Order: sequence, then structure tokens, then C-alpha cells
Amino acid sequence: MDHHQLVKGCLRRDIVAQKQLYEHFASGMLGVCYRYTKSMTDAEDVLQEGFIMVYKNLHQFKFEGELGGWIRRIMVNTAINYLKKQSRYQTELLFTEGGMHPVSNDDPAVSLDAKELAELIRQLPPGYQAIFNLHAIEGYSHVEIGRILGINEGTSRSQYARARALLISWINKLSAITKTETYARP
Amino acid sequence: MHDPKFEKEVQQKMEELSFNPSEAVWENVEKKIRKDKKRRVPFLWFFLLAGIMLAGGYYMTREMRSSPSLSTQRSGTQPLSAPADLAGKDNSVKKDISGPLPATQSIAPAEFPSNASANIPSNRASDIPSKTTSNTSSKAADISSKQNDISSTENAVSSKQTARVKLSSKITGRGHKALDGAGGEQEPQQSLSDAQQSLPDTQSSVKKDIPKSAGQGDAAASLVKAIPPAAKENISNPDKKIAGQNKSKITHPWKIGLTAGSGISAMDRSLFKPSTAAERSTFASTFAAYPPGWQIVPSTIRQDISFAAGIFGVRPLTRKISFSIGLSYHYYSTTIQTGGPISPLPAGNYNAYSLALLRPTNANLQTSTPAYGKGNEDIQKEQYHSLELPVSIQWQFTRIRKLPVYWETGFSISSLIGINSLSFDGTSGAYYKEGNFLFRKTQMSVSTAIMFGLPFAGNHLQLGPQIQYGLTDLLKNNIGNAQHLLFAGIKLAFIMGK
Repeated sequence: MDHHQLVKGCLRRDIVAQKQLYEHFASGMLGVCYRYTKSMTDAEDVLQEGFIMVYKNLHQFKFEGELGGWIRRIMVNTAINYLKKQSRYQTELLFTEGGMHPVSNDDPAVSLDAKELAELIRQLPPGYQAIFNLHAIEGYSHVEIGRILGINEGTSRSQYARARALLISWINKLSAITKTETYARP
Repeated sequence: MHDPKFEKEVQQKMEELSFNPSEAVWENVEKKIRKDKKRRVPFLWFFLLAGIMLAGGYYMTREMRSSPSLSTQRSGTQPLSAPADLAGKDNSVKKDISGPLPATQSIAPAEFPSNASANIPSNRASDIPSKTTSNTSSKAADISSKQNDISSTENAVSSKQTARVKLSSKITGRGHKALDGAGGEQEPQQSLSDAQQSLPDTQSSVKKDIPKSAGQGDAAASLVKAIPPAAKENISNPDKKIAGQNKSKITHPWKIGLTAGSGISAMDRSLFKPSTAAERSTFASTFAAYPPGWQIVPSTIRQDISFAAGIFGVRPLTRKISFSIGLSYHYYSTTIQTGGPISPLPAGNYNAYSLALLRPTNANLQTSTPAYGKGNEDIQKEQYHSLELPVSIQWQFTRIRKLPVYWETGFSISSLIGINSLSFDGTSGAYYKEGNFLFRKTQMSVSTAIMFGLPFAGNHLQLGPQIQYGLTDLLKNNIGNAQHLLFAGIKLAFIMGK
């Protein structure tokens, strides 16, 4: 698919091009939104708001990078704003200034599939979840995360370390259960 | 250093994560982006049109003031002198303006009758200073007037309160009208201040009823206590009631109205299609042989009366913006100076080069066509009867409820149903009444107006200045400056119904 033509069509407000753009990116972007939220309804709300932002700001896309990457950044920003706005996420997004937590060197092999892993990430408290998503998956530095979430770099680091440790422990537990179940099977 | 193998693995896994969104997501996105598009386009157009109209109106007003010099510029060869009568008028106007003002217009303080204060009843005169100084007592009365307004509308006053209500109604008869009248759109605080104005007459009687032992603040508090809870809510949230009333208006969207306008109309030949250098050059070479002073250019077209009347339907779009469409008859007229009637027609009539006014063809010209020579012996009236279909948007841009101000802008498509106009032939220097075939019957114009809602009849009567400008050239295949009808005047609109 020629993204250049697609963008031009969208800028002409051609509804066919707009639909094509949506159909091309929607499912992947819903995966992104899903990781940041606690329910599919919330994820779809973020996706909807995100695509509205995409069409609104498409004139700012200069073809200097991947269109998918640009849309993804909008989705992530929309998700973070959504979390900040929604009262049910707000309280848990209040980051406490904890002491430094060392990042463990534990690098377990992730034997879970994408959906199982996503479910575990979504089980993290919203603050941990957001920081883990931003750092581990989107690749933002802790300085950038601090700016996005309005927290200190150190807070981001320690929260990430806790989130990572928690997630690894869950992965290990889940892997152990899976192994046991496998061995138990006749 | 820690090797982020775990992160890489998670990243890879999450790249694979995808879900199919429900249909509702796209439907909502589509709805939103279409809505934005729809919302943007008409507003851009209306603001663009309004901007053009305001600039055009300003330019036209300036041009009309200096019309003799304008016609000189258009002719390119012969300067036209301003007619003597006009110059005379100008001078007389100047004289009128520069003359001393009548002595009676200024009243010195010393001239104010010394017995004026004696005419004020003694009890009122004594109340005047107390009104300005004793704020607490006026506040108490103010609250009691509020109480009266609300308790009379709620119709739920206890027997203990009845005495106070009777007392308050004595004071604030005006307050009632202000709240209930005019479709309930009056500002409650304004009505209260109206009531306050009537206070001095009876202020002493209010004081009598307030227990002497209690302080004035206590009296106010006791009055507040007596207000029923529902009424208190109305006091604290007067906008609630008003908002409710506005909502009910929107449920009956279309209203019918009558409109009328009166003013002056003029012919503009300066905007949109000024004569080109080539046309001016052709004109100059064609008429170079004429002796100096030969008036080969037409006389200046002067403004004359214009009026309009019609019917329209109006529908509120939001609380402040309304849309209207209508049908109206518009009469435009202008005058032009000519010489006396001539017969037969001059030879060589209808050369293709008639710069400012005319026309591409000599078709259909009969020798019986009435014609007038050049000169200033006669003033001919040119008339245009038009049937118009105006479409406009009106925006209320002030919050003053007693005198709301609206900005109206729109366009109209019209049909010239009757034309009685002269055409000028530059070759012969004659004016012809040659019928309608030279004119473009379908016209498009834009208009703008500032309308003031008059403070009676529930603001259903609006009055204000209006400018309307014809975008379409009046003449078909015009080689010279385009001609556009211009109207400037006062517009009156009356919206029927509650």
C-alpha cells in the first residue's frame, strides 16, 4: 500500500482513503491501546480518539519516518492522556517517590504468546503498566517518560524496576504452572 | 551492563499483538471527521463573505464620497467637473456644519431652575441621600423584592410570609413585569435593579415593617429564611430558568418574520472589473478626434432611493446563531443627467466601444427607441425591480439582554423582473432606452447588517444598518467597468410568534 497516496487522499478528505488508512492500521493500533488500558472498551475509546487525532493532524506528517510509527506515537500519547483524564486510572497513576530499585539481571525466556504476555502487562498497576509499556516496548528513555508523565526520572526508573520484577515473577510462575500441567498430562 | 534481552523479547511479542476493533469505532470516527468538515466549511464561507462585505462596504462608502473624481479616472481622457448643484449642496452642508450651534443646546448648570429641588416631594428628597448611603437597608429591600418575584411565580407562600409578600409586591410591582414579561428573557438582576429604583417611594414603609429591635442585617436574614427552598434555588441560579426557556425555543425551530428596508442605492463601477489599460488605450485612440470638452463619457450615475420588503423564516442553530431564508422584493433606483430627447437617432449609433456603460451589440435597436442627448438638461431615473431569495446567518455577539446586538451576513440570488434604465453610446454620446436585453437578469449579491434587538415585543423587533452589494455584473458582455448594484440603508425585521 502506498502510504504517500493514502495520506494525500486523506488530506483531500476522501472518505475511501480515510477508511483504507483506518483498516490498515486499526488492528495493530488496538493492540497498542490494549496494553495501556484495563478493558477492551477503554482500548477502543483510545483507538477512536487516536484516529480522530490522526486525521486532524495528518497535515503535519512530513514523510520523514514511517507512517505506522507516527500513528503509533499518537496512539500512545492519546492513551496516556486518556489515563490521566479517566478518574478510575487517576488515583493509581499517582507515582510515589520510592527508593531506587535495582533492575534485576534476570532475563527469563518468555515462553508466553503475545496475548498472554499482554494480559500480564495489563495486570500491572496502571502506573507500572504505563512506565513498562513506554520504556520496554516503545523504547522511551526515563527522562522522556518523566516528561510525559510529569514525574522524576528516578521515579520512572524505580517504578520500571518494580514493574519488571513483578512481571518476571508472574512469567516465571505462569511458566512453572504450564510446565507442571504439561508434565501432569498423560 | 544489563543486556535488555527480556525487553527485546517482550517488544517482539507485543509487535504481534493485534485485535479487530468493533464496527462502532470506525462509525464514530467517521461521524466525527465528517462533522468537523461540515462545521468548518459554512463558517469559513460566512466569515469570508462577511469580511469581504465589510471591506467592500467601507471601500464603497469612501468611493461614493468622491464619485466625481472617480468618473474622471474611469473616462481616461476627459475630466468631469462636479455639477454646480452638487457643489452648491456641498457648500450649504458645510455652512450648516460650520455654523454656530444654537445657544439653547447647551444648558449651563446655573440655568437649571432653582426651584427644581423644591418639586421633589419632601419624603423623596429626604430619601435620596439615604438611598445612596444606607446600603444595608436597600439590600434588605432588594432581597424582599427578590422574594416577591419568586414567591409569586412559585405560588407557594406560607401565611406567615403573606404579609411580607404583600409588602414586597407594593415595592416591586416593576420587578414582576421585568421577570415575567418579554418572554422571560430579561436579566433577573436587571429587574431587581429596576425594582430598586422604585424603592425610595416606599422605603420608609419597609423600615416600619422590619422589627426595630433587630438589626438591618437580621431583617435581611429573616427574609432570606422565609424564601422557599425551590425559590432559593432560582435566586442562586437565575440562568437555569433562562437556559430552560431558551431550550424550549429550540424545540420550535422555525419562525416566520417580516422584513423591510429603506435607504439608498447606487451603481458601483469600480470593484471587480476595472477597465484595463488596453481598453483605456482603445478608447483614447478612438475618440482622439473629438474636440476638447466634448463630453463623450456618460454622466455620473447618482444614488437614489431604494426599498425592500419581504418575508423570511428563521431557525436558531445554537443559542447565539440562527439561520434564515426568505423571499423579498427590492427596488433600486439611480439617476443620471442627460440632455433633451433626440429624434431621429444619431447616425453611426452603437459603436462597439462605449467604455463605461455599454454594450457589445447594436442588435434590436429601432429608430423608435427613445434617446437622449448628452448634457445636463434632464435628470433621468433608472429603476430596477428585483425579486430576491436571501439566505443569511445571524450571530448575537453581545450579552446585553435588553439590547442584544446581532451581526447578520449572507447572500441572495435575485431575478431582475423589471428594468427601466438608460444605456449610453460613447460614439454618438447619446443615451438610449433600449429595453432589457442588455442586462443580466439573474444576480447574486452579498449583504451584511448589524441588527439591534429593540427592547420591547420580546426582542422580536430588530433594526439596524445594512449593506448589500451585487456580485454579478449588471450588464452582459460588458467591455468596460463592471456595474454592480449597491444598497445601503436601514433594515427592520419582525419575527412573529412568542
